[in-house]
Amino acid sequence: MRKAIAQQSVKLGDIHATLQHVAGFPARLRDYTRFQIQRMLDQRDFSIATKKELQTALKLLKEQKRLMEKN
Amino acid sequence: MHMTPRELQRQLEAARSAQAGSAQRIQAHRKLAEQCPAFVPNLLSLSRSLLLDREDTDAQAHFAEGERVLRDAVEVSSEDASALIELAHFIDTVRDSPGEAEPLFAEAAHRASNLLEEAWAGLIWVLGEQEKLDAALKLASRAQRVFPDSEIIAEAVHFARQCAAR
Repeated sequence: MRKAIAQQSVKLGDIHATLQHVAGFPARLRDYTRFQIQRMLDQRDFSIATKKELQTALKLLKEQKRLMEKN
Repeated sequence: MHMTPRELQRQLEAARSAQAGSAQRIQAHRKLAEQCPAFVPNLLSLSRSLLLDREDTDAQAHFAEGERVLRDAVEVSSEDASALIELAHFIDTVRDSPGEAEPLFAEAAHRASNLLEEAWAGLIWVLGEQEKLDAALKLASRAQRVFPDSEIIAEAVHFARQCAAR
């Protein structure tokens, strides 16, 4: 439970430095948490970022978690 | 002189004991990859370590190396599912190319599915040999839902029933 909450509060800018250089990195979402990004997508709120940027941000947060767990 | 399987495993564990994404860890995996370029578990760990680098070093060089290492892993493993999955994630996230990742995930799923079918058939068979019919039939009902047309699962179930018959 605590782990799940911690995951939700990770900000896009907290992911490893190398991953922040991938193609199409949505830098404007750096200060937003996974929870906030997920909520914007759920509510189709594209006022801060485009749908594609939100999807990429979520994908990178998910990938960071997977890489850490597998390593 | 080739390393023994035990020595390879020991070196991989030693590399994995260093912090994820540290320069020390990346170097240890690189060294092992030079010594044994066909040791796939190390190649997969190296590619992940390159992405987890905490230093803001040359990311593009890391990406190029990571992709090369993963393509080698897919090739030397004859397209093993775990290597395909790792490459597919890389192509999707680093190259932001879901269209290119799609056939890689699809091939991985196909291979993993074949493996699962074979593993379940084998498991049902050996449960039957040991006359553990309840366990064999419980697994069989799940296996036949996933693979309704599987000949090897049907054959294993038939065998397990034969073993239990007095």
